[in-house]
Amino acid sequence: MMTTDDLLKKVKNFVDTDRRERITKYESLKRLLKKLKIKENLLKDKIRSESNEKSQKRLEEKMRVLKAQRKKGLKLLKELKSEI
Amino acid sequence: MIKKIILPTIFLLLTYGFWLSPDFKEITAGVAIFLFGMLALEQGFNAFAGGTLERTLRKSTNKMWKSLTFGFTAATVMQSSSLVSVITISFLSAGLIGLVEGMGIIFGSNVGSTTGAWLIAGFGLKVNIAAYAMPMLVFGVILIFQKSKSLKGFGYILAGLGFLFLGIHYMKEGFETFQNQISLTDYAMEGFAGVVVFTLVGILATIIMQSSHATLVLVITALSVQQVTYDNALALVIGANVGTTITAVLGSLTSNTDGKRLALSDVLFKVTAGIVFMLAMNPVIGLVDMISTSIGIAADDHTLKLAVFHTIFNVTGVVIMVPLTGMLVAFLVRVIPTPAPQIEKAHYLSSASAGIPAAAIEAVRKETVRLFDLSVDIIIQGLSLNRSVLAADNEIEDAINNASKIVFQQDIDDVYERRIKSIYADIVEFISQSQTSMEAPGHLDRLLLLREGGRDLVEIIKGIKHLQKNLKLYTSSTNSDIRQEYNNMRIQICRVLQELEMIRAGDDESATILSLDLLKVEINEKDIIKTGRLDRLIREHRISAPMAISLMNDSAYYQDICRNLIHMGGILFISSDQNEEAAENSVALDEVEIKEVVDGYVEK
Repeated sequence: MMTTDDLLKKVKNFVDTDRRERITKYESLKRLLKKLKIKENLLKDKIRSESNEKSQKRLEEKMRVLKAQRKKGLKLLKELKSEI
Repeated sequence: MIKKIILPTIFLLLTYGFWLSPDFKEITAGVAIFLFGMLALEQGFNAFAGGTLERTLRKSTNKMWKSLTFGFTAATVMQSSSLVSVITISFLSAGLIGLVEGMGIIFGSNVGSTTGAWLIAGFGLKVNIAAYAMPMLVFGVILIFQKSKSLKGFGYILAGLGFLFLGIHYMKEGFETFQNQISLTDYAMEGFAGVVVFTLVGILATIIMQSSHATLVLVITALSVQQVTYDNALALVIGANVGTTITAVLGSLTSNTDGKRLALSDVLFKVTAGIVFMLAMNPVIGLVDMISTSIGIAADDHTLKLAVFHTIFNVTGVVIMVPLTGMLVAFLVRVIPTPAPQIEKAHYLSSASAGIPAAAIEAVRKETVRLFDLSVDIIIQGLSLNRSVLAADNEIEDAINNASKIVFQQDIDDVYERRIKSIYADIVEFISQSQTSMEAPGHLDRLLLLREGGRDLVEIIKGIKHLQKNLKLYTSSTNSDIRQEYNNMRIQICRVLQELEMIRAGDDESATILSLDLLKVEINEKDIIKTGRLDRLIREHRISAPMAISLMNDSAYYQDICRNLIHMGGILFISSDQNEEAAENSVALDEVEIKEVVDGYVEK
């Protein structure tokens, strides 16, 4: 016969697993965004030093995509943080 | 290595032969024209596959006696069993008849050809169908230029026949020098040795003159002036019958396996009858005398008796071979087996791994990566490029725009059937088998996703096939605008491939699935229709309307190819870390967000 305490413990564990998952997600995303930030900074330097107009244009486009991805990631990160 | 050497060696030997002897040149040119005729004939009959000709042929050859009658009649009308043989081989190669029917026709034609001996012996007549070769060639070529499929097919048949005769003509001309050197009296011989030697002489003479009729004329003439004994003349007729199979053997060189089997059956027919007659020469002579007397041929009328012998020879051949047809077919199939098509099979999919979810997923992933590799080769060749163009540091744009040589050698349908479809079929089958063992829902999803990736690759190859037609036309066009547009498609497809290769290699940390978003943006931005570039090119009369239509269609194909590649890459080359993969997927841009980037909604 399961006691009330046991039941509560089980429920808490279940909630904890869910939370743990969110934390893992949050941390993975944070790591990825950090990588993207580094990539963005490197790209900025590259754009500045690129003399070929065509290549520069392509790099700028890459930057726009990167920014869009980071923007999306940051928004998600905020949401995840509020849920933890 | 050896394969690479063979062709140049043959070329060198032939060139040396041409330089050494003009006769050799004529003979080999004759063989080449003859073979070309066979190809044309086959193409012509192909046009009638499934039509009236096929139905008529099937109806008139569906029983052995019908096939025999068909062959007999055809050879009597054409006065050449060799011609009937080669036409039958091309019927067979085009799939209009089966091997047994073909054998019946050839056996029948051998008997039919004996009517020629009667004509020659009885009336001194020789029907020379070769005289029709030139008109056939002219009418044939005119018909080939017609739009109607059946007229075109008929044109190929006529031209094919014309080339056959022309080829035989050149072979004969080339051999004429040798022909003049054959003097039958020099070899006059008694007994069995005489039979063997004169059979060989008959074979040689027929090969040289490319006609058993010509040998018969020679034998009859020689016999009438007593240059050759009656016994030796009979052996010569045996030789002529065996030697005439050379045309069928030659004709089978360009044919499929069944064509080769048919040619061998003809050789076996003649050789078997030849051996039987050589061994039983004396009783046969008695039989000929008996039949000759009963039909009123004078005892010393050797020429007509020769015709009787020729007929008995071929009828006996039919009598011996027809009951053995079943055995003969089995023998031919064993001697000339159907070559196994070089079909690629799956490497990693073993039934042992089908029951273990993780192993099954990994096996399918590896096999799909292999499928990707094979597909990349096909795509790259389909774009007339080398795989080296995809090297990480290579400037694709320069490489493609500056490439001078455009060569499309690949038969995409063939490589698709042999290399892609076969492996993908194995993957699909394996996934179906493994599905039952996938308990966790994530596993099954992953497996089905990989199957989707494989389907993307199949679609990509089909897209390349569609694209290739106009790529061939426009990448070498003198119109620089259309050339550039098609080059742009090649460049963009290669960029996607290059990025995928970088992600797959994993050397560059910045190359991840997220890098594919940039390519998605580029494909959208370079859309020839949305950007108004197509309208501008038409308005400024820089491309013609048909070119514009081609561009519209092909840009859709090219976009599908790129999108499918990106989609497939997203399935196949994800990060090995599941958490990392989930994070990347959550950040990857969707269609709406891509559009926002293209339209410049994202801050710079």
